[in-house]
Amino acid sequence: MLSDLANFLTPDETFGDLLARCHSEPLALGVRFLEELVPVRASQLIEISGASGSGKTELLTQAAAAAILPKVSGLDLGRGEHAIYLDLDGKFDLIRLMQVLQGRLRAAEPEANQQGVELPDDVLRPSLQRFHLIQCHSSFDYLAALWTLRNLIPILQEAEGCQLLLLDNVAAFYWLDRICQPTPSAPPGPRADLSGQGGVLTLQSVHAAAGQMLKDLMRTHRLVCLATRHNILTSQGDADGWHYHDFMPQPWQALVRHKVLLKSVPGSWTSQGRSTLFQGINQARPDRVLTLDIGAATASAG
Amino acid sequence: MPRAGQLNWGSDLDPAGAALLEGLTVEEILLKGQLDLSYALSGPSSEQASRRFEQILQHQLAPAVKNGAQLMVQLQQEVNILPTGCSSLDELLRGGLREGHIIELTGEPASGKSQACLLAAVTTAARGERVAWLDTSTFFDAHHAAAFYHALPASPHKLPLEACLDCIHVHPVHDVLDALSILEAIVLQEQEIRAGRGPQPRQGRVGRLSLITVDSISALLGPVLGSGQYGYGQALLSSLGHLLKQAAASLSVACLTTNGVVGSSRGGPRPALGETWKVQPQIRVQMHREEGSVRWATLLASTISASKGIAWFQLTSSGPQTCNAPSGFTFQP
Repeated sequence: MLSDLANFLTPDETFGDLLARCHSEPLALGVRFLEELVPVRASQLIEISGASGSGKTELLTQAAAAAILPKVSGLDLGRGEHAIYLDLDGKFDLIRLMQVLQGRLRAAEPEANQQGVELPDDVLRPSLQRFHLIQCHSSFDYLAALWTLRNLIPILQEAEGCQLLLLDNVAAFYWLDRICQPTPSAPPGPRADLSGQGGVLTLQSVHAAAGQMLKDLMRTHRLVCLATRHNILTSQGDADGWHYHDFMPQPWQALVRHKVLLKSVPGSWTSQGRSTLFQGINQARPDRVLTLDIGAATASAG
Repeated sequence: MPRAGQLNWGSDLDPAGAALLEGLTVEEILLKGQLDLSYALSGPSSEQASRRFEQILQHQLAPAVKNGAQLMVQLQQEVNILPTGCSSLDELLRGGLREGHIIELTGEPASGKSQACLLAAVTTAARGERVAWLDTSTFFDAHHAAAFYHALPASPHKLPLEACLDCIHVHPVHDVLDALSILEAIVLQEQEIRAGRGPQPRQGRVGRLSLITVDSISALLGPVLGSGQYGYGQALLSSLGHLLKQAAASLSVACLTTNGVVGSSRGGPRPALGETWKVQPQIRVQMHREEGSVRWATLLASTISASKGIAWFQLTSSGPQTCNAPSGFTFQP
C-alpha cells in the first residue's frame, strides 16, 4: 500500500526533463523577412494574409526554396529537406521557384569562394526532387490531399526530413463552400454517427475536418505550416492598409498561431509595371513594419 | 461522387468490411476523419477497410503529388507558349500565352482587348490547333478573322483559310450558367479525344485544343454580382474561375479572358469584378488607349516578377501590330 502511494507520488518527470523534451528552438525558415517578423516553432501555423498581389505566394516560394536547397556547412543556402506545397489557387509557378533557387545560389557564391567551400555541381535537380506540389481544384481535393499526406509525410521524414507544409490560399473555395447548405437531417441508421453532416462540404464542415487533420499532421510530425489567406473582403475605411476582416470559420482561426499581414507598397510601381516592394507586420506587434524587396531574388528585411 | 461501397475495393476486403462501408459517401468519410472511421468500423476488418480506403483515395480520388523534377519535365515537354501574333505583346508576356495559365486582358472599351484575342485565336488556329471561343458580345466576325489570317506571315505550317477558321469553335454564351456548362462540355470532349476516343487528332499538335477564349468575362459576371444575393454571385464567379483553372491545368491549354475596368477612388481605372476575381488569372495585362489607333499595355500581375515594361501596338485592319512609342511619352502609373 505505502509503496504504491510512494510510487504514485514520485514525479513522472521533472520540469527540466519536460523542458528538454518539449522545448524547440525557432525553426530557421531561411526567409529573413519572415524570421524577423515571427518566431516560428514546430507544430505551429502561420497565417499570411493580404490582398491580391501583396506577395503571399512569393513568400511561400521563398520558404520552399530555402527548405529544398542542399545544406552546405558554413553557408546560408538551404536545409536539404523536403517541402510540401498544397496549391489551392493554381498560382504556383515552377519558373518562379527556379528563379528563386538560382538567385539564392548566386547570392551564396561569393561567401562560398571566400570560405573555400565547393558548391555541389548539380544542385537544382536534387533540390527540385525534394519539392512536392499538390494542386487542388475543390474542397474535396483539399480534404483528400490532406488525408493522403498522412502516408506521404512519414516517408519524406524518413528520407531527408520534412518540416515544412505550405498552403496557398486557404480561402480559395470560401464562396463555393459558403453557399452549400447541410442537408436538413441525417437519415437514421446504424452509422448515424458517421453521417452527421450528410456528407455535404459546407464552409463549417470542410474547415472543421481540414482543421482537425492539419492539427494532427502538425502535432504528429512536428511540422511548420505556412498558410496564405487572400483577403476577399476589403474593409471600409482602411486608411493604413493594415485593416482586415477575419472571415474564416472558427476551426481555422483556432489553428492560427501567428498572423502576418502583407501589403504592396504604394508607389513602388516601377517602369516594369509591377510592384516589387511589399510590407509586412506581425499582427501582435503592429508597430514594427518590415519591407520585402523581391526585385532582389532573395528576401531582404530592413 | 460515388458511394463508398461502389468503389473498387478489390478482393482483399472481406464481405463484412465491404458491408460496413456500403451506403456511405466518400465525402462523409473524409469529413469524419480517420479516427472516427476506425471507431465506426470497429471489428476485425476495420483496420483493413480503412487502409484500403486510404489506398483507393490516394490512387483514384485524391489530386496527384508531383515533385519538382516531374513538373520540370512536364514544363519542358508538354507546355507550349502560344504566340499572340503581336510581337510587342509577346515580349511583354515573355513569349506569349503559356499553356496552363489564365491570362486576362483588362482595359477600357476599345482598348484592343477583343482584337488581341482574335489575333491570338487566328494565329493558333492557323497552325491547326483548335480554339474554343466563348463569345458574349457577338464580337467574333469571320471577315475580321480572315483579314487577320491573310496578314499572318507565310509558313509551310500555315493552314489554308477555311481549315484555319474550322479550328475556331465559337460558342455564343448569354450568362454565366451557359458558360459553365459549355466549358464543362469542352473539357469532357477534349478528354475523350485525348484518351483516344472520338475524332482523332492528326500528328503532332494539329487538331489539339490549345486555347480557350472568354470574351468578355465581365459581361458574364457583372450581372450576377450586382444582384441582391451577394454570396451566390461570388460563388458563381469562383466556380467559373476554378473551372477555367482546372481546364487550363488538366488539359494544358491557355485561357485568354477579357475584363472591363471600373473607376477607383485611389486613382486610375482598375480591373472590374473585385477581389474574388482578382486572384483567378495568373497573368493580367492592362491595356490603355493612346491617340488614334495606338494602344499600349503593361503587366499588372504575373507569377514571374520581372517584366519588360510597356508593349506598344496599333490597331490595324490586319489586327494589333507592334508600333513605336510616340515621342515624348513618359510612363506614369
